Amino acid sequence: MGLITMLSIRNLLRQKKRNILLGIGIAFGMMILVIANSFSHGMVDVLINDVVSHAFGHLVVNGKPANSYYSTIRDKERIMKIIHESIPKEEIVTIEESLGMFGRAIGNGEADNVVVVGVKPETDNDQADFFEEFFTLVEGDFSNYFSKEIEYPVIISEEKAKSLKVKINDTIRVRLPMITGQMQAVKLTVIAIANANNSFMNIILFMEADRVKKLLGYKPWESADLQITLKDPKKTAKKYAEILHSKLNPEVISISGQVAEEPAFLLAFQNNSAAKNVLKKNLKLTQGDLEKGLAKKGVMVSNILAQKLGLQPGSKFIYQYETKFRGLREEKLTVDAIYQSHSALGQNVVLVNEEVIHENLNRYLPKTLDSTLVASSNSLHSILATEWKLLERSDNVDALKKKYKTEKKRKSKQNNFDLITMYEGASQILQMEYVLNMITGIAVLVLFFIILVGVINTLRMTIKERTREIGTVRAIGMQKKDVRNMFIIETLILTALSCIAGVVLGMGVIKGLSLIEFNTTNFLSVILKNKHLYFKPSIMILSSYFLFIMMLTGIITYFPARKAAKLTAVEALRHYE
Amino acid sequence: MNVIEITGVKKNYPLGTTTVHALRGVDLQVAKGSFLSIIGPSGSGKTTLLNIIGCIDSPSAGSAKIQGHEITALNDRQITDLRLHKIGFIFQTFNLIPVLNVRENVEFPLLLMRKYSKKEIDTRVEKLIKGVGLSEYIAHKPAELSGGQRQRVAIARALVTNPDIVLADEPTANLDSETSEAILQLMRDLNETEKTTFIFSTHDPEVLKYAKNIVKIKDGLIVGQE
Ligand SMILES: Nc1ncnc2c1ncn2[C@@H]1O[C@H](COP(=O)(O)OP(=O)(O)OP(=O)(O)O)[C@@H](O)[C@H]1O
Ligand SMILES: [Mg+2]
Repeated sequence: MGLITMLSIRNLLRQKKRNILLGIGIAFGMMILVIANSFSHGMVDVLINDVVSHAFGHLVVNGKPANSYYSTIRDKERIMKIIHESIPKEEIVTIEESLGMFGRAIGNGEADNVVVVGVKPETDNDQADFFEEFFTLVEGDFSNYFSKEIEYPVIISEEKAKSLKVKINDTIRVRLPMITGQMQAVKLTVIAIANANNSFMNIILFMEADRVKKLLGYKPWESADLQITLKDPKKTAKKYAEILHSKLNPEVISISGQVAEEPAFLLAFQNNSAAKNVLKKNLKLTQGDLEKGLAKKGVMVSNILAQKLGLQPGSKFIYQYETKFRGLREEKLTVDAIYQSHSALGQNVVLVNEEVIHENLNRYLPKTLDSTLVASSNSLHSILATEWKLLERSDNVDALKKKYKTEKKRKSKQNNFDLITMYEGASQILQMEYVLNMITGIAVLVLFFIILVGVINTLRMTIKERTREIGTVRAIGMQKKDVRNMFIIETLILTALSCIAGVVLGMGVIKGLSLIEFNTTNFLSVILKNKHLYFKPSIMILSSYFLFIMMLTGIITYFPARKAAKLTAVEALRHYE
Repeated sequence: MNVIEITGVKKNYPLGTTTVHALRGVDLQVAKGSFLSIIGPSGSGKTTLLNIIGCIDSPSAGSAKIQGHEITALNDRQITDLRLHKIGFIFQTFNLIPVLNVRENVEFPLLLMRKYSKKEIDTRVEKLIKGVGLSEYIAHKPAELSGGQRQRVAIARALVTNPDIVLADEPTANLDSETSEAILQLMRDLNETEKTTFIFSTHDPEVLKYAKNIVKIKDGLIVGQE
């Protein structure tokens, strides 16, 4: 050990009382910092991995008509395939349908608002975990959740059970809107009264996902929002959103089918003036009215097909195509105009405005969309309508709201697809992270002031007391910088030891606090995980705080220490107090 | 050969609106191996002169050469180095480092030099501590020693680097007369054996009988030399 360090340590031990007091101050500050940081870190963890992932999902694929409330993804299998192509399997924790709706419930003479949510743990193992992790059972039996005898079994929170005055096996009547827009009334049977470990969820009636899905009117191949829970959402949510977004590009609507046994293609053009102008330039009409053909309900047929089938403007015909889930579809159409067959589009072609076909297309999905029919290099490719509209990604909640506002004004039956991450969709919840980081920030500030005031004061006293000693060692031949370093090392050692003590102390307090069980169901339980405070110390962050504090101490000490070292030997020796 | 050559040295201290002339033009040559006593009444400038010789203070005018080095031309780092290697200090108030024991106090200047091995240091330190008669107290802290013992430690520390000059400003002023005599005898013996130059100040005529040479100073001027 060097002479300077040895002197520093000896001097440190000399003024025990004062240094211990300062040490306790720093240790205390560090302890608070450790607790605050671990708490906020733990909270963020709970928020993102429990609250956000369950209530919202880290990444959500949303598919719905522009002006509908309910999300309907018409072909779940296809979208799931795209998801799996975009995100590696090991990064996905779960993909769940977001099945939930508000409704008015009537229990035993009392009414209240509820949210009915469908949850289906996949495997037997998951089931046990799910019930155990998620709920605290008050009364009843979770196994009836899957009972075939009961039509609609639900789990209800203690709070809701009380407000609806229901007990186990009682029924609750709920009026719910379906995806079709109709209202329906159902009778739910209470099979368990249990509190979700997060009080956010206490207005929810939990029911098996498949039953909720059916109740809402979804077809088996359809899906509600797909909520993806990611393994490392903070790192990957935005990245996979971009990738997934790029793969969700829709195909152009070109369906192969037939009209009266004659093979024919149905093409849809975009319902906007740009597309219509291109058509006006390129199409030569042989019969009928072009304006009518281009209108919202417009149907046009090529002269070749018209000739073969003997179609005139005003004739009704049936376009048949094979659907993916529902057999043969017969689309009844009326001819508005007949155009001179165009080489870019093919011969046997029915050309319709997209609004003619969207609604039914969504319900009767074609088996295949033959996108090769009109090559993308083709001059008329750009006017073709797509099966859905993929909305631009929004960076934040405001952009998201603005986007939806514009979409609401779009009078179209076309489906929208949107990709939302928790940063836009659950930004309010995530904002708590800032609040929590602020708590830590305040703890850092407190510590900063303890060090600033404590170190500077202690150092000033120490230097004053030891001025004659400084004079002695300077006279004997110690260099200025060694004198300076002696004081700096002295405070650094004290700070380092105090910080370590603070970390140990903080860990102890954390251990103690996490042992306490809180049996509260009020709002505060949001911050609890399984009835306990949850801390997650981050070694990375704590060690960077440690380095920061050491640096800070070094800087704070440097100036008074340098001032002390600058004293000339005579001045210092003559010092008298 | 002169280890110290001082010519026309003046030292002024500004004091409020006036100036105190602590030294008014001092010329002094000290030969190697001297045992010189500077004597004069209180306030005559003894300490000021010793400080300049010891390179811990600089003259307001004049020239001071220590071992041929003009100290007014050196920077702080060089002067500090010069003090470490060429000069030993003995203080009236002993000025030991309280957190170090006798051995550590004595080896302190050698450690600052950063050029001797542990073995060399140990041999030198133990020899000197034995020389000042404190072998039994080698592990004691200054607080556990008497005044006389402390000053012996200080003497050992001043001599440990084998300096050319040892300066002592009233080394016996805080000691009783018996102890004072023992300390002076020790310094005198070391002067004989090690051939170290000693310069010490005093206003006690009793002390003078140990001196080989005497410089009398009054009101910042040398008034006699014998
Ligand atoms: N830092 C200072 N500021 C102002 N005046 C000073 C300072 N140091 C010394 N003096 C003055 O210089 C003169 C010489 O002082 P010095 O300490 O050299 O005397 P001395 O001979 O050592 O006295 P003593 O025997 O009392 O120790 C005195 O008049 C003193 O007041
Ligand atoms: Mg004096």
